[in-house]
Parts: sequence; structure tokens; C-alpha cells
Amino acid sequence: MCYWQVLFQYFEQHYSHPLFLFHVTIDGTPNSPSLPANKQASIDNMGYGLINKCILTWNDPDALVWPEDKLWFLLVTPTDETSGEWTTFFNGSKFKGYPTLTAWVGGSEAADAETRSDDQIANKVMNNLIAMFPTIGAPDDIVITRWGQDENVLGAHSFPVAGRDFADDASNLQQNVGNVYFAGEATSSSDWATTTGAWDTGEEAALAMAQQLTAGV
Amino acid sequence: MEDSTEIEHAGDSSQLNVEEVEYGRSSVESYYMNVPGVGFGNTAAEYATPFADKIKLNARVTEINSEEEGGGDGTGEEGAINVAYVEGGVTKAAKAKTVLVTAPLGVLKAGSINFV
Repeated sequence: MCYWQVLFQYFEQHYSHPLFLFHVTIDGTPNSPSLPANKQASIDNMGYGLINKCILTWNDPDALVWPEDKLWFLLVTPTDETSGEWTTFFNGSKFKGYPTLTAWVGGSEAADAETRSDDQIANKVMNNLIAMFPTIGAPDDIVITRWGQDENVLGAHSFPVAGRDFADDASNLQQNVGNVYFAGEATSSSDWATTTGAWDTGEEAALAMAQQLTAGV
Repeated sequence: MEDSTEIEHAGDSSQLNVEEVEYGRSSVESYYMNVPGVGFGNTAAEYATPFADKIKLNARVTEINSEEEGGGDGTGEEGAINVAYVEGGVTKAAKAKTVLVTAPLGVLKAGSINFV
């Protein structure tokens, strides 16, 4: 007989939210009367933001025409209006072992990006890269995220919102309700918004659960 | 090490409490995930391998009920948590002694899971 039965859902969103035990939808009941009031208030009031990424990869090692050891490239554009539109790039090539760049967009620009087509986004990203690295070639593969439209995610990750104490909210969210435990980046008072925070709070919860399960044995 | 911890926590090392420093150390270790072929995804998959037969994918949890003992059918264990989920359009149930919810905050905000 299995010791405990848990539905386990594993997700990888490159560097966000690696582990989700439950794969859920938004068509449920929008009330959770059995959750304590302070936990529900934290859920309702914590900041939950949007970041999207456009990941470019090249098969040919010689396609790497940017500084290999620089992790970030930030493009300054001539106008304020375009300064946040796919102008931040992460260079993960040395971690992946092949040429790859990830363009980031956050906040309102990330929401706006979700209304654009793949071609529109790819063109903007490539134009920004060409402005920095004129000899850059077309990538072999492009992956574009639209986390706000994914019903199993509905955004990117938590952020400290003005007027709330993030550590208090994260702590409320992490607090177990009887035998129901909570983990994830938003429950991490120190490493929110990161896979590290998700991983560490998951490990913390698992240890607490194991302790509870073996308490009477 | 001291520098990275101070940068991580925005406080002087003389003022950081031990727990925070310990947390910082743990985070620094996690950066070693950034090795080709390792990464959080591969590592999580490796952890999950021994439990592959207990892992259910593409199952949407709709309710976590810790009040109703035995799910009303008289067969449940005392103190069991009943989890309702939808798989392939069919609502199914699972029982657990303990449950860990790691749904994204946005999903909790949307009330996608009914906690009873």
C-alpha cells in the first residue's frame, strides 16, 4: 500500500516555477471559505506580475557573435516608448552549451506583447539585437512565452506590492492548513520570484510533511 | 561568500542572522544548477524517476477537501484529505494523508481550486 497518495505535477518554465503539484484551471469556484482569512487576504492582495521571454537558439557554434562571458545585454533605444520593449537580453550560451539569447519583457510591455504575433515579436527582438550586434544571423529556433494567457499559470511570479509587507504575505501563504501544505516561489520570504525559492520551499514543506507522517510511527 | 551573501540580503554580514546566512548559502549552491546538462529541470526529473508510477500528469485539481472524512462512501481513512481532479474530462477522486499545493499564486488568486 502506498504510504501517501499525492498527485504530482511537474512543470518546467525554464527558470520559473519548476514544481507544481497541481495542474489546475480557472473555471473553479472563486471562493475558498475554508482557508484562514489571513491566508485568503494574502492571496488576494499579493503582487503577481507578468514577464515574458523570447528565447532564441542557434545550431552553429560560430553564430555566437556577442561577448561569450557577458551575461546581460541591455539596449538603450532613442525613445522612452520603446525602451522597455524586448531590450533586455540574457546570454545563457555557456550554461546551455550552444548559442542562445533570451529576450525579456516585463510589466505592461509584457501584457502588450501577448497581443502580438510570433512574427511581430521575433522581428522586434531581432531588430534590437541587430542594433547591438550587426552581424548576428537569424536563429534556428524561437520560443515565445505568453504566461498571462496560460490558464495553469496566469502570470509569471509574485512581487512585493506597495502597501503590503511581502514577508508577512509569503509567510501567510506558506502556512499549512491542517494537513494541506503550501510551497512555491510566492511562499518564499527570501527568494521569491525564483526557482530557488520554489525549490527550497518545496523541500521545506516535504520535510514537514514527512515529519508529520512519521510522528506517530 | 560573505560578499555574495551581503549582496543577496542587502545587509552587513555582522547584522545578518544565522538563518538568513544559511539560506544564502543554500541559494549559492543552487547556482551550480547552471551547468550544461544539469539545471533544475533535469534535476527535478531525476528526483521524480523512482516515483514515476505515482505521478499523474494533465490532471486538473478542482477541490481539496479536508473536512469530509472518507468522501462520504464510508471507505475512507479517518483524517484523509479528498482531492477531486479532472482527467480527460472525467472527474476523479484521490485520498491523501497530506497534500502539498504549489499552484502559482495567479491560480490561487483565480480561485481555481476549491478548498473545503
